[in-house]
Amino acid sequence: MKLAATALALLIAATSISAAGQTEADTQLKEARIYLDKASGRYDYAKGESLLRQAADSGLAEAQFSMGLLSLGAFDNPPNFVAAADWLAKASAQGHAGAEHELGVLYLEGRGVGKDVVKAAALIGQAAEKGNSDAMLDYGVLVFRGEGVKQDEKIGAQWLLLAARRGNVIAQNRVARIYAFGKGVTVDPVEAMSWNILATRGGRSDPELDTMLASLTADQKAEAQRRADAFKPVATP
Amino acid sequence: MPAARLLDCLKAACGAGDVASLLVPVAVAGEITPAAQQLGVAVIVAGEPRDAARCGADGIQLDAGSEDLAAARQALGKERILGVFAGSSRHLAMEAAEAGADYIAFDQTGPALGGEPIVAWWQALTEVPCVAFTPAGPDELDTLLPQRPDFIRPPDAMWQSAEDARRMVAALSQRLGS
Repeated sequence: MKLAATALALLIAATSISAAGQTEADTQLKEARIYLDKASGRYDYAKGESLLRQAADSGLAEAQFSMGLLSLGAFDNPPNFVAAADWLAKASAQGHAGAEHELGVLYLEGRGVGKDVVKAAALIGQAAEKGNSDAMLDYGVLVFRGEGVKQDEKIGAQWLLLAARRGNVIAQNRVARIYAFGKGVTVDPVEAMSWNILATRGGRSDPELDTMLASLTADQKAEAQRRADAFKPVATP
Repeated sequence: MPAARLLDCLKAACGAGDVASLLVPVAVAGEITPAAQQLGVAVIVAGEPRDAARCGADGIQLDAGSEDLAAARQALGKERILGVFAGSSRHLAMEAAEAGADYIAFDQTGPALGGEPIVAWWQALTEVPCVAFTPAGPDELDTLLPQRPDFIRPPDAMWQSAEDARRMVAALSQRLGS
């Protein structure tokens, strides 16, 4: 009985320490973002980076992820892929979806880490399952091609669709293509045109598709336009 | 839990609502299967294809990823049900459906990916039925039912007694409109 009470007391103490630590790191991250925001009027890279590093050192996944992005070359830093992989691995170990995706890409390209396509696909897949739309796109492509993961055009197509519905413009272009050519989905020129309209609207035009879809009937074109106009991107968590 | 109490709870549940199936561990499958089937409940064993065959159960449920689904599908044949628990993984669910799963069980409380909760997404994607496998009480149905799961799983508290089972299934059934 006494032992249990002691354990409980210890547990409470441990919780409050980590809560306090967390708050300080959170504040550091928040301030770092202000110093690193060129539009904030308080831009100061050195200060921002230093605060960010402190928050990352105390274990905040979001700060570790941001340190990873700095090491990848954000703010015109010379890229240091080894350092980037190190920070991203730390954030990724805490389940940070953005970090899982970026680290996966490093494994895919063999930068800062030994090239490992299987590990890359696993990391990018984890991030995709968490709703990171860039990861959904990359994972869709990996599954579609069978890189680091079992090839499956149908499943790959569904991942591309998930990313496209989140408003990812590159994914919208890919989805337009798979519907146009019937890869992993049943050929559907109207759906192809609808996604092509959305991708074009987002700045990703595709002359080959434009030519191909020009032969649709006026009714089909109107339906594609109607679907595109009705499109609302699914919220990204 | 003793098989007798399990059966009492099951009988009470069947009297209170539309009970489709019962998932049981291998250890009690033999004892419970004939009686459950007499109540019109499909018995699914959390085990291997041979476990279902041995006790005459209606099917099995496996975890996606950890098992060879295609082999299980083949071993079960067409008469028996293959259910696959995919957690909150869309990828594993799609793979399981391609491997011939008859239903997919989801942890519907995983990442919702913004406006696309996993059950709603699945229902728009495919005809393969799905179970919202994380236990849901009447209060949780508000968010769950609009996603249109084919089956839901009552909270485990229903197995405490026949009365608990009756009350829980009746409360859920009322919300389901059955």
